[in-house]
Amino acid sequence: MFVEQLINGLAIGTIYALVAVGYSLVFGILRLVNFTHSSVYTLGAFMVYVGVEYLHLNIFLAILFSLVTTGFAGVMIDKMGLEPLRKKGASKISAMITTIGLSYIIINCLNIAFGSQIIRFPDLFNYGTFKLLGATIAWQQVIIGAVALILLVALSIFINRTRIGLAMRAVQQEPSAAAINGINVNMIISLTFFLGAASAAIAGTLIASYNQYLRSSMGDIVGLKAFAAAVLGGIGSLPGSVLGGLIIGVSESMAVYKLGGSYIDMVAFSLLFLVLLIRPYGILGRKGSTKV
Amino acid sequence: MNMKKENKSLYTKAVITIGQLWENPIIKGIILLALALFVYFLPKMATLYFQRIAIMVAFYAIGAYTAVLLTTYRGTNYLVAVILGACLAGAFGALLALSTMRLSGTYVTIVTMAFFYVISSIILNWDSVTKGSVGVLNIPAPNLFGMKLTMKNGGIFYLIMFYAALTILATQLIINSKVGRAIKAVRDDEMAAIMMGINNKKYKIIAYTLAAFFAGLAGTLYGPFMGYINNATFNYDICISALVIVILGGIGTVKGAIIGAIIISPLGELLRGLTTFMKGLPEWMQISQPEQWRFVIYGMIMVIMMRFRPQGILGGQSKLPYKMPKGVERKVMK
Repeated sequence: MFVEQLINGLAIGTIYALVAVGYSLVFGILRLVNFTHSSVYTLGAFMVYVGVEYLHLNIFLAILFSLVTTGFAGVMIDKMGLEPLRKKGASKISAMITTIGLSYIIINCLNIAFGSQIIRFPDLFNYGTFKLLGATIAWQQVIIGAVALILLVALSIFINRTRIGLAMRAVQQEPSAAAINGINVNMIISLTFFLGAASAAIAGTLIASYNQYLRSSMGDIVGLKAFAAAVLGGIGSLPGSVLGGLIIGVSESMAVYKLGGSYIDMVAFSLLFLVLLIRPYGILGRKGSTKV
Repeated sequence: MNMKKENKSLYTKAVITIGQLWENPIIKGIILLALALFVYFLPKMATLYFQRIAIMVAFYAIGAYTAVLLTTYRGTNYLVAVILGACLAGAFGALLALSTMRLSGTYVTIVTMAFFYVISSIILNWDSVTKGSVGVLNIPAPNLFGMKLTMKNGGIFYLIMFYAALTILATQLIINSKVGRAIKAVRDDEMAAIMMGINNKKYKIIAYTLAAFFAGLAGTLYGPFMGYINNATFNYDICISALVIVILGGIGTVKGAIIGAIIISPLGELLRGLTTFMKGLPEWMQISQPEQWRFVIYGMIMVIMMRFRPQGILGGQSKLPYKMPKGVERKVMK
């Protein structure tokens, strides 16, 4: 039981990490908590469903379709909602309220189109189970964890090793200096939104296939937990997000193992509360200096 | 089994009653108005920003549940229950202020959201006390000095108005006092306030406590008004409705909250009316889910207001001369 729960926690944890990375990427560049992220996550899963159910695509094509459409939805959120505000020099709170409003629009449009009830979602990785240390483990969990992990590695290589990644890091440090050096800041921000939305779409698809259902409210709690994970690890730091996601995933499944299921949602937040009492900037976060 | 069935039928009955209540736009307007008035304290009282609206609902829930559980199951006097509810919410506010003291920015946001989540999770799971998702039914009408204030004799409306007037008065007094000015200074620019010798920690705790106290007070009103509460009563939709009202009307002004409530509250009714009106039209023109459309419109209002008029319809800079507090003279060098 223990080993099963541990593996389960690690698998869910990597998915939290994948969503948390999206929060972290946008926060790193705009210093903005992107409240649309949880609705984009839901949108991603729904797009796969649309691809399979309405466009009759092969499942991999459907995932690709979802990646592209959701990614562009992320870009549209930035171009139509946030870029005008940046140009106007509006306050951070305006930008944040805009993201809350946009996420409300997306979720309720999904509600109108598909209804708020549970919709069956195909099980993508149904390859049975195997035995490890006397525990029965589903291949599904292992594959989900592995896919999320591969994506995380790919993202970190992209950010740390490529020229575009370098530009992203430059914008993160100082947008105006980056612009002086010939970096198209708005393009980089849109790209960040694309990456964040695409990774959220994959995470949403993985979770939907894990639960074998999807519904318009599926993003609420996962979004909040992933945000908690990003903050727990230190928001703006990629390794921090991954660590935070894993900690929350594993501690949740341990709580199910020890305490039973009803308090599962409280674990993440109580943990966050305790960690921030001791380390106010998250586990891997650094304290920034206050400029006057 | 029988018990459960009975509970269930009671539950459906209660849901139907609430549905009927919400049919009435006037009642709805008043609820939202009251809510907006209490939300109006948020920017003024606390060092909070808007994302922390969630937390007001948490305190609202604490106040509501304390008062309702005391009056329904212990038969406590209404006034005593109200005071206890508000004080408990205030105590939680102080506790939260103390625990978030070292945090800043995004970290405070997530901790307050987490707090909201923990409170609603406790309400859902602590069945033996809060009755979980079944909720508390048959909440007695407030009994003031032998007078029963019910919906029928209209007493409850006067009670709401009294609360609103009391809170507006109290806030105005606090805002214009030394404490209020210090809180405003810490809210607007914490660093500058510290430099001026203001004890930012002390005033943060005071602000959180007061805001939580008033939110709790508002909550104590909700139970007897609706006659029924459960875990789903206090959710993000309430926060969003209140947020939309203040954003539309103008942030941080009473006028704005009132105007916003007047515009927003009939929206649901209008959309429902539109749905019946459009029944005869071709299918693609019909609106099938008025409730969802309402939230889409809320979202659009937020986005559009932030883009074109972030200060709200009535917000903006005050053109009136700044009123100096007593004992301070304006001396301008000429």
